[in-house]
Amino acid sequence: MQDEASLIERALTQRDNAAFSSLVELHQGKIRAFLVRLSKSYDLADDLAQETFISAYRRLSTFAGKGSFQGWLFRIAYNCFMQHIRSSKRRTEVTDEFSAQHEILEDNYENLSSQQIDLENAMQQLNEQENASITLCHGYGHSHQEAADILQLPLGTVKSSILRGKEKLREILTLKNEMEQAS
Amino acid sequence: MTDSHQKSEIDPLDVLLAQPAVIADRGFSSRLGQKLYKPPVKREHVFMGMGAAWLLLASVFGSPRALLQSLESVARVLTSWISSVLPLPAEQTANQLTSSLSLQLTQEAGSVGQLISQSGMIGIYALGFLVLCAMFLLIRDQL
Repeated sequence: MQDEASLIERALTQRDNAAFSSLVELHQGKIRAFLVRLSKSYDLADDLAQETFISAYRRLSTFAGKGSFQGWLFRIAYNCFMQHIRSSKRRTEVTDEFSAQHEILEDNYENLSSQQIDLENAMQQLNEQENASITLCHGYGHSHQEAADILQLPLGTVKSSILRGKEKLREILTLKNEMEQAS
Repeated sequence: MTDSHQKSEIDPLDVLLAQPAVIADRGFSSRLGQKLYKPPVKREHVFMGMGAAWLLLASVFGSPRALLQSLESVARVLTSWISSVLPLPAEQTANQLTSSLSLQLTQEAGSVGQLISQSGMIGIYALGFLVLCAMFLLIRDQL
């Protein structure tokens, strides 16, 4: 597989569809997982991911190459999600549909351990800011500043969201472990 | 000793968070590709063909005045369509869009420079904007 930089170069200068498809294959797993965590729905996440890549394809010439391509995609994905939130005028909540879908988590994800299943369930209890900040910084290795740029939030907000979110996760996972041990 | 001390400082939650779940492709990329790179459909071809044919005919056979008259007729069609969609009287809408063009035509202007004066250009810009909007909606609909 060719490296990302040459794929971007080909997609950008030659409008090479095959190169862009390779970029989609490279990033779709992370983008969709990010959007599932935010939207709490596999179907909606897929729609938003499609919107993200279509938007990226159209606006490829605006990618300046200053940050990472992945960061640029996350920013578009987050904007698509926020746009959806604004247009639907409702906050995302863990729905029965999503809970039911969790029964088929292993079918949707690649090589998921039981701990990761627990984590994915726990992540659904966080709000969008906490979820997105933790996913970007702890999951995909972005710095706090990069996450702040992607999410268009103040640096302090990102840091406090991470601290608050991790505290919530600890409580949820500890409680789950205690319940399992008790039973 | 140092190793065990370092290990005790590692937060198991951080370790878990550093292994984010990745969703399997399951045909997502190919579905997106079909949507993204599909060739222009028949409607789009017809639309572009009509535009190109009109421009060709207008430039080969038409005078600047004929071009403006043609634009005026397009404006009438568009305004009647707009007035059927929006709750506005057809005449009012038509007047807003075509009055400047009509005014120019009735003045029997002798040269192109006189014909395409400021008021005429407003009408042309309005028409151009409407055509662009229609094209945008058509193309977006195809994606």
